[in-house]
Amino acid sequence: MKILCVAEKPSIAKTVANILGGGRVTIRNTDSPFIKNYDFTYRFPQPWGEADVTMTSVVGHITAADFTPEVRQWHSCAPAQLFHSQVVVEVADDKKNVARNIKSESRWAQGLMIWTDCDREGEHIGMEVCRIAKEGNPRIIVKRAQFSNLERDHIRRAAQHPREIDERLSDAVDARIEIDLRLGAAFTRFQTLSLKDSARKLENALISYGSCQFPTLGFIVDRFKRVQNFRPEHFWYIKVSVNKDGIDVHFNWKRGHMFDRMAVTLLYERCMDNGSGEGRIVSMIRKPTSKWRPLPLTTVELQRRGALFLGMSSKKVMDIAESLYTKGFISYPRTETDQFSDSMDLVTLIRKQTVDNNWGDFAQNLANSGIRHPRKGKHDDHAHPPIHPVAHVSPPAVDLDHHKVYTLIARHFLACCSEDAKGETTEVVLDWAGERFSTTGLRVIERNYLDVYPYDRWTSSQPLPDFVQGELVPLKRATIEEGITSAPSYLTEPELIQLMDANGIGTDATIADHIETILKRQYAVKVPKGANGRFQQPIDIDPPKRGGGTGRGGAAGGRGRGRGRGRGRGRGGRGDRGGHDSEAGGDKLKGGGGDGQKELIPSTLGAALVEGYDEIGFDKSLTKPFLRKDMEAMMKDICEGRKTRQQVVRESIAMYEEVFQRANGQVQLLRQACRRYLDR
Amino acid sequence: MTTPYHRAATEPQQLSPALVTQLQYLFYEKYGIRPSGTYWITPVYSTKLPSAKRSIAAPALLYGRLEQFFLDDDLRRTIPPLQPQGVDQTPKSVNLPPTRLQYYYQNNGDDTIREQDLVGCVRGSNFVPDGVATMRSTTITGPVTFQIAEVQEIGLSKSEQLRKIEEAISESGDSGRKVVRDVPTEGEHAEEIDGNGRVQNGTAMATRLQFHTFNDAQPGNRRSPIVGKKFCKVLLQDLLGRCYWALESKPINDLEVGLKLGTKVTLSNFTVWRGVIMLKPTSIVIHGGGIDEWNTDFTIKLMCWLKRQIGLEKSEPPPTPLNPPPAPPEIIGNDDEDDDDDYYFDDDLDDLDFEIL
Repeated sequence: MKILCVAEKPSIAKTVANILGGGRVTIRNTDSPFIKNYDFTYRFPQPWGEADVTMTSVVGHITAADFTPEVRQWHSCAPAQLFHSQVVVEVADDKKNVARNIKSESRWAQGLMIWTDCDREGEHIGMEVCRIAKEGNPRIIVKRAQFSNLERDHIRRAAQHPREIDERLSDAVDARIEIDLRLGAAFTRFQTLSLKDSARKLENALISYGSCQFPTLGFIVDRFKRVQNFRPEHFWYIKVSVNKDGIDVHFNWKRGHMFDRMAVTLLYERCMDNGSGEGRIVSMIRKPTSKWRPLPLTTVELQRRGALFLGMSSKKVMDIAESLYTKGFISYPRTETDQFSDSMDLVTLIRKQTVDNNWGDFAQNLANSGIRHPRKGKHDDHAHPPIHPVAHVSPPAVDLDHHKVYTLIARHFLACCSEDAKGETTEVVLDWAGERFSTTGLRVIERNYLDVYPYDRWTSSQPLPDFVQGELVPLKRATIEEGITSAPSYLTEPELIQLMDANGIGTDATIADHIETILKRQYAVKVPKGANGRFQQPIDIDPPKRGGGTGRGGAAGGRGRGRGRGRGRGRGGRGDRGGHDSEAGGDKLKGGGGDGQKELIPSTLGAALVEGYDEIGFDKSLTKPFLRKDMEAMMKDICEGRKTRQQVVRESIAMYEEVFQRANGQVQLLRQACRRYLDR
Repeated sequence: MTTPYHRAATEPQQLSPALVTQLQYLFYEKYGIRPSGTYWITPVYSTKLPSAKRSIAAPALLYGRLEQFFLDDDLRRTIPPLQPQGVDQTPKSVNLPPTRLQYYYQNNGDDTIREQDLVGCVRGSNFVPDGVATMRSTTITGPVTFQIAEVQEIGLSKSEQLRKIEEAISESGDSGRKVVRDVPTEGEHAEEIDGNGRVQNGTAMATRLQFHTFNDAQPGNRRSPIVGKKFCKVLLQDLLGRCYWALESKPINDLEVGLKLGTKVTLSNFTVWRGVIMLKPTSIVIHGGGIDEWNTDFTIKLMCWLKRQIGLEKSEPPPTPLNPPPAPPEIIGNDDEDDDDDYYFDDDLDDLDFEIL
């Protein structure tokens, strides 16, 4: 019996081979310099039983979709034709050796076990492997290993309990690839060719389109315009303070504040007139309160918190998490699940953290005193648990940045298993001649999870004196105060991630890539935080140049997940932005200056495109998230068997074609917008 | 006692009487306080406070703001060459027959009036007596009938109001779907006054802005609140066309931006504070109705007005004000400048040289 196992990337093949082979593994080279074949023996469950195993891998997707050669050139056809031109799926040129290896290894195997990552993209890659293997050996029997981390027991269990491969997930990816290709190519050619004469800068520019990029850019431009259009406004409010037991207590007006001086003045005067110099305590209410421990960590939250707490770009956080996963330290980092199943052995995982110098004691206490089962969120992707540590690691085994991300994940996990922080709030309401004022105080009683999660802050306020209901207290001061509104800040990456998530743009796993893409396309620029108001206009930078031959355009719309699965179209390279976080900040937990805390400003081109498309006034705008969200929902329909791949492609294309025709008809609005912004 | 700031200010004394009239008009426009001879400014701040209370108010408030009200720089820069219009055309209430104490609607039983402009339809009603602007406070039994000429939300910034309107509009274009544009942030809100010890709870923070749909063409008396409701300032017009600002001293349910302009209300047992009417739920009856032509293109006019107010649209042609064209200030107070025994004059301040006005 010979069984072929195929993982998604070489590092996983190596790890899994070592676990299943129990260290007795022989390594063979292949045609590809990156891929090794690992031979060992392993006892699978029946009907396979004891078998000679070859574990190998691919490097991301093997095949690529493209148009037939006659329409690949920029001017070869009208862009709209690309919505219906034939698309062919072939083994990518640079993956030929990968395919060859699988084909030849499968020839002598009776069984094929797919070990690609367990999600849509992984399932799709698994189907590609499956098809290629069947070319070499049509009778090969295919199974699929279900796993979510590379911990030894988990992998062994996965090998013992394989399932069938899910073609629906793979179909959804096929549909997405085709739609992205058509949309990306059609709109990119349309934009690039019809705008090249509208500004000198655009003559040779590549103006790529992606169905996720544009709504993402829409958020950045929207916020920018809000900052740009912001005008400070004055407001007034009444503030009173009393002194009791030697403590100064400030009370805030229940009405908040008003943008009308007359109103505040009159109400103030009325108080002065009707009231005495004393206020009456209406109530003093103490209430227990708690600060909830965080929900279990999802991909989106990891990216957001990473950007917020560690100051890294979300892209970098994901890359590091990916690498921690491959090395077996954390569970699979692409998950939407924010609840741990009841059957999970959390205590064992916690015990693995007891050796840590920083949070070991906390973990020890937690493991000894019994944990509280983590809060359950509303999401479950039924594939992976929330992100959690599976093995302990500390420097120098990993570098500093890896350790920062690992620390966040480990601390987050321990926090999830701890008690909420407990406290008590006190609200005092004071009445002064009919106007109500209130003040609140907080006393933290038990810190609980906060002890292991320094990213959250919750501290006691200054203690309040004891007031008695009905008590008259002399006012120390009662004044009208003036304030002025301040501009919203430009969009930061953590906010953008949340917006994209809330609006259903991209899957959790692709969000970081989309942000990266619009930066690379020069639609937006990251600037250091605190740029408030410094940018009265979008930033003028040169757009990327149009390449020579292929008019395929920015088909990278919602391309997989990046993650080095680049389909070798020359755009796969990592952006030159984002990778250079200067982590000079002394504070280990809050590295202030990194990319994650930078603000996003649109470029002139980015602003022009959004404004132009907005002026065209679609029913479903390209710069708003709805079109994409609908598409995302249709993908889900395929996965859950409600729609077929063909149906979805047809519907999506029809939806976008309508938008395309409209844009085509009103292209002068786009041109004018570009002229406005770029030809100054 | 320290010298109040305004003692040193000599500029007001150089103003010509014509300019003073203009200033008064502008004061009215800007602060909504009805100028009336010297009295409207002096009383507001130079109130006679018992020493106990004086000590709790910031001195700058007592004296400093007075000067600021008067010499407000941008106010002086923007003095346009205009004369208050229409003051003389407005009939004085004294010219009317003695007011008959009758309830406007009940006794007339004329429902059609609800849809008409009240001004000119003098069918007998009570009025707010002359000279209320010069009085610090007075209670009027009424009932007095008004029509609502303008509603302003003053508890929210104008930018915020604009944002909500724009969101509602863009959303009605996208098949009624809403883009989530804001996420709760860990930091504080732009407009938030930092209370001491605000408690924010993990997921409890994830509140979404409440939002409303609206439709300009929507029939009926009321629209859904389009800018949200916190605290309203209302311009009320009586049968003679005289306008009064009114404030909600207690929140009134149906009073909000979007209430159909021209809506008729009757007030009774209400307080007037320096000419500004204080509204309470117990003192107001909202009859509904409205004046259609005041409400045409309401949202557009509202947006223009908000934008102009915050300076987003500067070179707007002569303001097409929210309707009705803001009634020029009717100087209600009469010229009883020699009313020396006005009780609220502070001993220390009543010798100030405001006679120049």
